Amino acid sequence: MKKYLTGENLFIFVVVILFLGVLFRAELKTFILEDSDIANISLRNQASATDGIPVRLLIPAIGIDVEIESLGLTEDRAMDSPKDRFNVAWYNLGARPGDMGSAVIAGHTNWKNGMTAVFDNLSQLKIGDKVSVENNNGIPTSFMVERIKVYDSEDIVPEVFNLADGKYLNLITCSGTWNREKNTPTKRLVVFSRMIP
Amino acid sequence: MPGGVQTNYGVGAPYPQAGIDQGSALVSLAANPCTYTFPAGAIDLATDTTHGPIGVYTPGVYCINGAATIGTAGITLTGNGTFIFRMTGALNTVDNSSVTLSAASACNVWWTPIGATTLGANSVFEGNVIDAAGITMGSGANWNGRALAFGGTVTTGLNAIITAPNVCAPATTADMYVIKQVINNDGGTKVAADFTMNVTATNPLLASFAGVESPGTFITLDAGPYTIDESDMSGYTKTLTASCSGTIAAGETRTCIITNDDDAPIASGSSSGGSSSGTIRPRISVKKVPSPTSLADGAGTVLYTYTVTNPGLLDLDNVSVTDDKCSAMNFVSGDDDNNLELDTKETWIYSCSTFLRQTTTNIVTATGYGHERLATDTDTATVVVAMTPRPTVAGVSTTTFTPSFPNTGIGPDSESNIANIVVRTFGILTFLSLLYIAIRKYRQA
Repeated sequence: MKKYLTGENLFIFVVVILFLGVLFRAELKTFILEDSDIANISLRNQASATDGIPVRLLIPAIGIDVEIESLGLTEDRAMDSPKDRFNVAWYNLGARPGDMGSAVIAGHTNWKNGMTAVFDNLSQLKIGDKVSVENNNGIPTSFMVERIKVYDSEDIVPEVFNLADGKYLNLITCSGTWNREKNTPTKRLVVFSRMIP
Repeated sequence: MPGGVQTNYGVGAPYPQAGIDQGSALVSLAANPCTYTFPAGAIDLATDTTHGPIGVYTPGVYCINGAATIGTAGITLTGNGTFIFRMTGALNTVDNSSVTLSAASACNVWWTPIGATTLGANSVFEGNVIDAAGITMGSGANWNGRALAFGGTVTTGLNAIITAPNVCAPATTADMYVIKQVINNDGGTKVAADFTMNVTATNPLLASFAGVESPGTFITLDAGPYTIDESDMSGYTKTLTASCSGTIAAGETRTCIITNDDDAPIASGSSSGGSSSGTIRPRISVKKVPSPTSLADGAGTVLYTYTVTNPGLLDLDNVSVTDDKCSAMNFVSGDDDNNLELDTKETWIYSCSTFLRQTTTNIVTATGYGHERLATDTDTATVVVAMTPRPTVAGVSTTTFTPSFPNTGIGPDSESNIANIVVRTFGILTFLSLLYIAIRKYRQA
């Protein structure tokens, strides 16, 4: 055994490991969040959530703790999508999380190349899972997942953006198959959540 | 719009009137013809050389069919006049960039992007932005002007500063575009420059000048009464739009269009009812009225009513009425004798209904034929749609517009380029080689 533990062999081993790490560029960025974090957040006051804009999204069930950017519409009147695959975008022409109405947040999902993206595991959310949004004043608002639905990418869906009978947070990402012609997946996955009183 | 007391609009939010006012301002700005249109696509105003000297802009209306960026080198707006930068995409300034004024006032600089406005960190910016898609200032950005984002949000980064201009002195002058049109459909050969435009007003920038086709000749004149006309030209029939005379207010912009249509030669055997010149020109007129004329609560349905008459001497057949932004055109009434001809004493009524989500100007065109000669007329109408302000306190969101889904997929093409394939293949081969060396060393040992 001792004869294998030569400096030369150890050097080769280290080089191989380093090379593999660089080669496959393991997406080591994780979204680690302890359940205790959201428990602490839930204890705080949610009453003044509408005074600020959302800046942080937390979904412990799938390990998400990311920044939120504020975006509006593209030139073809679609909700704009996040500029980075590791953060999410809030639709700033709609409701704010905690307002009456539908607040909408979108995030990327990966497609074929082994790259990871923030909402890769969004479809794994279950009814009852908690979602929390923190605004720029540090005030959190918590929501509970109510349902998950898939739409065609070209659907215009008021129930995602315009419901006004409650305080909703709807999360959007892509699903379906890749449409090369339109350079977008064929489906959209929407997670509907309602504010926890 | 923030809550609380607002100087111009009183107590409480939202402020529908503020949305209407900003919508009206946008319409007014949009009505100014482009004085320079950039090549289609995204433009970096700091490096562009198609408009003139690099980084330098004189008063005018700059139209960008795409997004606009102000790069690190920045730009200088020079000259005492109005600057309008109109773009169909977003407006972005890069970090540490600057907009500099030289003999210009931030009061008179206007930016009207369709996409969002984002000012880079520590950038310096001048002028007024009207942008429903939202405005974001990076940290340390310094802005002299106004951020008007009805329906959107204004977001400021750490230590970002917006300073409203101290004094925006009321304008004492008005702007006028004089457009010359020449129609040569009966053998005429004159061009716009053959006609001389004459301006009667107080302190006109130009009192007499050769005609220019659209976008025309831009002049300033003092507020008050004015008349614009041209020296007569034989062989042409002249028509002037209503804006070619009247009283203009300070800061107002009008467009006077003078059209000359060449007269037809005398037609033998068709002189029945003819004029003294022997020419009978078919005429048609259309007037368009929207109802309502504005939508204070945001998107809604508008009914347009079109009144088509025949002010000429010839009955018109094959009458057609089309609207460029309303397709379901209905004939309502007016063909009293049911002969399918618009007689000189008849008034035909058409209607069309459409749903508007944003402030819209559309054009109706009426055509008809008299003795197989075309008569045509147009009319425009603008309906201001107030963007619904989003509640800033807990309340019911009244937003009705539904956007399309975002594109949140990452395509396969983004990672399958040749470089990546080569790098990975090289890596795998290197790995196998190292593995082989390691095994050989092991066996030798």
